[in-house]
Amino acid sequence: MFRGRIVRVVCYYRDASLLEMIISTFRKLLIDIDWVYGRKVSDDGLYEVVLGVRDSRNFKTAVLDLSNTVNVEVVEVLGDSEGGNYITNESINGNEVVKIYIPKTDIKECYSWGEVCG
Amino acid sequence: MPSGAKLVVEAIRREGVKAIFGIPGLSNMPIYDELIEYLREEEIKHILMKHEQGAAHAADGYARVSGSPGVCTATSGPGALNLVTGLATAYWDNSPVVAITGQVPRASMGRKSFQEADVVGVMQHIAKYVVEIREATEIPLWIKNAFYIALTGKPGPVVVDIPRDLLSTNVDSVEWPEKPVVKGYKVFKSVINPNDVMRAVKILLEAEKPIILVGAGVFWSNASDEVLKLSELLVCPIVSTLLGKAAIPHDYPLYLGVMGYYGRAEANMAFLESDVVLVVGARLSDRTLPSFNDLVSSDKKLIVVNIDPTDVMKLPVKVDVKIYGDAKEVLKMLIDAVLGLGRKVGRVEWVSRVKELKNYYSRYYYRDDGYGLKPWKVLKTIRDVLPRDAIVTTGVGQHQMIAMNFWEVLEPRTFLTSGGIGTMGFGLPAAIGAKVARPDKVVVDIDGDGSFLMTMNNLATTIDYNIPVIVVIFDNRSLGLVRQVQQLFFKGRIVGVDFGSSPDYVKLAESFGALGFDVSDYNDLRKAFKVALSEGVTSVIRVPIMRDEYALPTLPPGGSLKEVIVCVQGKNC
Repeated sequence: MFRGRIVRVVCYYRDASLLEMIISTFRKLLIDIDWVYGRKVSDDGLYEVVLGVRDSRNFKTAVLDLSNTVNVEVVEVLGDSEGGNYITNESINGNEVVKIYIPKTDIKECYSWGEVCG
Repeated sequence: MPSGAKLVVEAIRREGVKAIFGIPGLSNMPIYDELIEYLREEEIKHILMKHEQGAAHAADGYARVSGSPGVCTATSGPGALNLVTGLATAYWDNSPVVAITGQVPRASMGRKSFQEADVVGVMQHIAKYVVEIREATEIPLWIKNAFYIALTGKPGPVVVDIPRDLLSTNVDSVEWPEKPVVKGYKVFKSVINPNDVMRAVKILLEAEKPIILVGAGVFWSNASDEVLKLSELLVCPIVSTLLGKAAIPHDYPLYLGVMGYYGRAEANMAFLESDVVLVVGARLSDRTLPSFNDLVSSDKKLIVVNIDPTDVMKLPVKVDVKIYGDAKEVLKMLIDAVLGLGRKVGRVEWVSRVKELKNYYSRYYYRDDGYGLKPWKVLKTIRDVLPRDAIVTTGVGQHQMIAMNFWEVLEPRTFLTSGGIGTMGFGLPAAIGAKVARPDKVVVDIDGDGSFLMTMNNLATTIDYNIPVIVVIFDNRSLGLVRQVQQLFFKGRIVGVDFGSSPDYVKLAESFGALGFDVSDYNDLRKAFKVALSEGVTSVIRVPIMRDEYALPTLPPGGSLKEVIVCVQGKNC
């Protein structure tokens, strides 16, 4: 189980500054990021970016700021249930070179341009 | 086949732009080349500023006065980077500005090319949005999108960065979009729940000591009439934020002034004593409410009206009624609800207490020991010679805090200042923007010497383009506000703030072709203004202010509103 906070950002990709904006929203509020992964969801440029960030008193502010960022459709705060998986790639001489934690999550709350759900 | 540059200029024209503030350089030169025809036809004006920071402030000033986006342009690298402070100023104060920057050609990127800078990387943290154009065909849509993003929701600056090779690319077929298309951008919904409105009205009617705190949201939504009407109906005093000051005519008898860090003591005290606060279009920044303990420790009820729900969600205090919507719309509904209930309130005691506070603190403000010119009296003298609708801008510093408390705004949208981020040098270029937006109005920049010197090169622009503004310099040969803080809170250890005898402001003004005045008393000041107003030429009026004048009231750093300092021993105590 991941001991920080997990955030899923559903957003439209225009250029790679999208990732900078997401990451810097946390950086500007002194919140460290433990891991991040992202993928394209649809052909019209919809992406999801999932981040594991350290808990912080600024966490809510970061989420709210992100939810008002141009190109960001919605920000979900995910609950990390027990039973997340690690995917490892042991392709080089049996050494573990890539290790990705895929949390098993559910949406606790979400924010989109002033609207709240969850 | 139009070029990318032609598309830029035509797209801007289609957005109704009448003026562009900027400086040409290698990377935005194709835009200027296309602009020539529009200038000849007088469809668009170009105002050549003397530094890009000034261009951004001028666009900001234009936007604040007109309510339409102000436009500025700069070349790549240093030109674009010089816009940063001006755009950050607009962002903090929610002013709609569109900046169009040239970028080095795509083939030159990443080589530390001449005048190359990562505009997206730099600007995305100080603007509402930044877009790098990838294809010339995208230009019409993204110019439209830029204006849409800048003006809607919570307004703010948008930067469109365009590589030079795209400006020179010819486009086969042009599609002019009818509507903006921005994925992942939504305008805040104004969904006003009538039950919330009714709850708010009931709380306000049942209150003994209600107060309305007016923020910039009232200014941007043109809701001055509505807020005054509600105040009258509820017999409810008004206090404001620094930016909210521009929304309230100060001759309204229930207006107490700006509250907060350097705010008027009676406004702070009335806020503290109130039992219900209706906050309209204010985010309760650290300048307005330096310590939330002032709210937490009271049992006052809080009703907040804001277009941006996340502003309210960020508040670390309990909010009794939250209404998310445009200030004007919400205020109209509140007024209708009050009228519908038909209940009248007297609040004789509360109004009397508010007047008592006003009278009590006035004895500290309006003193004249005959030792030098008094800033409050200087402002009063200026107010008396100006028309009601004269527009005033300020720089940042002691003079700004003094203007905040003692400049009387008599018409909405006539007071422009950098309230959020506090940018010195805002005054003169913002005045230029204001005068371009409203050439029929008298525009005065009330500035400090430190602030004026930061962007005073734009005096040349006012002469070259016949944009007559009047600059009043509160000259204390010092960075007065920092000096004051050093004196009061750093044990009087004065360091790095005092200027020498340079420059001579009269000669400086004259060297630019402006009129220069050096006044020594209030009568001189009156005369200087009369000449400046009748000549219709940019004028610089130097008003000597003693170095040890303070901008009071103030609070100790991080202090509570309760700790307001209205006088200092040996000065005005």
